[in-house]
Parts: sequence; structure tokens; C-alpha cells
Amino acid sequence: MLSFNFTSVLQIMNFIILMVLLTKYLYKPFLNMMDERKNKIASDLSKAEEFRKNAEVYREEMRKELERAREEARRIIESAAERAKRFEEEQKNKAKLEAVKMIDDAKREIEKEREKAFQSVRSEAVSIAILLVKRILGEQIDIEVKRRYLEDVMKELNK
Amino acid sequence: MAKKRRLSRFGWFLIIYMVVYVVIAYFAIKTMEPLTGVGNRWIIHFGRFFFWAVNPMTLIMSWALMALLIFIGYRYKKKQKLIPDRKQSLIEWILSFIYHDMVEGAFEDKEFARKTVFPFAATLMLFVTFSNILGGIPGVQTAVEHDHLKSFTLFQDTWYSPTSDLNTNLTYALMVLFVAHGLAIKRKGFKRYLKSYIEPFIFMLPLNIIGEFSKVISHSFRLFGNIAGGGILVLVLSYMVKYFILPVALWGFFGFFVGIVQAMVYSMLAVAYISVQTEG
Repeated sequence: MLSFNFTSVLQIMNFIILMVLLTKYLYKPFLNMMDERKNKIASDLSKAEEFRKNAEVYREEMRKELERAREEARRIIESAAERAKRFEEEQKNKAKLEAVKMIDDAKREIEKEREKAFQSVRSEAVSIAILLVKRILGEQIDIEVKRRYLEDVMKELNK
Repeated sequence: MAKKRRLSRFGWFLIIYMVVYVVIAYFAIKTMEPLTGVGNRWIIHFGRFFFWAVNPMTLIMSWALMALLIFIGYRYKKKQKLIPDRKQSLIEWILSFIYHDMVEGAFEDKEFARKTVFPFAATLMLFVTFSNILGGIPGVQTAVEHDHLKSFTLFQDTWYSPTSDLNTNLTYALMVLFVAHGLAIKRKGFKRYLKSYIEPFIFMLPLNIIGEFSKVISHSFRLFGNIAGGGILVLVLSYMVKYFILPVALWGFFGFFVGIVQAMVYSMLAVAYISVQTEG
């Protein structure tokens, strides 16, 4: 049963052949793969760390940029509002001036009209008065004298 | 979410194997002969001296295993990718277990562990493991009468494990001894190597020498006893229960469980012996 024989020599040869072939096909590729994977993971991790740091920097920059943009926007809005206000004011003033001018014009016109009307009324009144006087006094008094007299009366009345 | 999964080629192989096994076993039980010559080996003599003989079954199964392992290795190398698929992960898990858990921790010099010890220990581990697992799979056996082949029987016993032959175990144990001492001489120098025999003092010399040789014997006979004894035990028990269910559990236990544990013990001890000699 414990037959120890030439098989042992063949088994040793088998083992050596197996070891050589498996070293070539299995162990070396396996160890190389392990190393490769290890290196890749390490490099990937360090790269990721680098990227993270860069991202941090970029984010900070971005934040500043955004802050600046916001500031700028606020300033623009403020200035726009100011300008709008000024424009409004100007327009208002202009309108006011115009209105005042228009009112003045109208007043002057009215005054002129009134003057004109007054003038016509007065001359009309003078004529009527002369007519009346002529009727009352007859044709005795000189027309020129009468006119001068009436005009004096009128001046008296105007005061 | 239920994922639809197709049966792999290995799954189909297992199913067909089982169907064939059940059919053949059904007819085999009817024509079962009384159990004779358990544990006898088919031996071919080619000389008068007892050493000039070979055990064909040991060699055939060894070569089959070698072919399988080399095929796996060849496929592995060919299809190797940085992001592994399932098969590659399995192979790398096994090798990583051997390298990182068994070999790497036992040696200070990582380059030495990697270049020299790892191929040796891994080959030992893989060969012994697969060989032991064969003892858990029903297959072809030889019926033997007076060292001569009487007939082949199918599925009445498991495949023949090369490790149930002392030729394998003892030679591998001797090889571990020689490798360990050879590496020790190479790494420590002959003087320091010799000095390790008279430590802690000179009277320990005989004990140290006996210790070294007993290592070989315990190393090889442990595996031999487990595998060969387990095989015979299972065969006898299977015969006694007329192959009624029990053999399945026994094959699983002795073939897979004991087989894998013993293979690990065998290769771990090999690593430990080399480590003791080279590091000590």
C-alpha cells in the first residue's frame, strides 16, 4: 500500500514543470497586475486630490468673481435708478416751466384781448356818448371840442 | 429586481454530469460486486527492484490537473484586464490569498517572498487543493487485483487524488525540506546555517536533526492519512449504505472541506518551514 517508487521522481518533474509554466502564465501576470492596479489606484487617488484642490481654488475664484459681478450689477442698477430719477426730475421741471410759460402766454393773451375789448368798448362808448350829447345839445358845440371834453371825462372814469 | 441569468457552460456541465451519474449509478448498484481490494493500487512494474514501478493513476490524474491549471493560467494571461471580470476576480482572489495572507507576512525580504517562495508555495497549494478536491467528485476508478488492473468502474468512488499517494506527499515534503535548507544556505551562508543546528547549545544537535526529519514525516503523512484514509472511509461507508444519499455528504466533507483545509495546512507548513530556515 505504501508503494514508494519511481512515480515520486516523475511527480517532482511534474511539479517543476507546473511551477515553471504557472510562473509564466499565472503568477507573473498576477503580480504585475497587482502592482499595476496598486500604482494606478495610488496615482488616481493623488490625481483626484490634485483635482479637488484645483476645484477648491476655482470655486474660491468663482465665488469672488460672482461677488464682483453682483457688486457691479448693484452699482449699475443704482446708477440707472439715479439717472432715471434725474431724468424724471428734469422732465418734471421742464413740464413745469412749459406750463408756467403757457399760463403766462395765456394771461398775456387774455390781457391783450381785454385791452382790445376795453379799447373798442371805450371808443364805442365815446361814440355813443357823443351821439347822446349831440342829441341833447343839438348841433351847437363844435365836435372837436366835445370829443376832447369827453375823452377827459373818460380818463377821469378810468382812474 | 430579478435579473434573468442564463446557465453558464459550467452549470450545464454539472447538470449533465449529475444526470449521467444518477443513471449509471442506478444500474451500477444492481450489478455491484462485493468490495475487495480497497486501497490497493494499480502499479506497473518495469524492473525487479521495488523502486522501478509507477502508479499510472497518480500520474494520469496529476497530468490532468496540470493541464487544467496550465489551461486556467493560459486563459488568465490571455484575457487579463485591469478591471477584472468574475473569473479573473476569483483567480486573483485565490492567488491574492496565497500571496498576501500566506507568503508575504512570513518573510522580511519581500522580493525574496515574491520571486522565490510565492511560485513554490502557490504551485504547491494549487496542486494539492485541486488534487484533494478530486476526492469529492465521483468519477472513474480502477479495480485492482495484485497490482494489476482488473476493470474500470464508473461513479462508485470519487476520482483518484494524486495526494492520496505517498509518492506525491512524501516527495513534495522532501522537496520542501531540500528547498528550505537550500535557500537557508544560499541566504545565510553555510557557516550560519550549520550554526543553527547547535543552537541554543551543542547538545541540541541530535534533537535538531531529528526535528528536521520528523517535519518531513509529519508533513507528508498528515496529508496522506487525511486524503487516502478519507477516501477509503467514504468508499466503505458508501458501499455499506448502498450509495443512499450519505455518500454525497461524505464526498462533500472529505473531498471539499477536509481537502481544502489540508491543502492549506500543507502549503502553510511548507511556507513556515522555509521561513523558519531562512529567517531564523
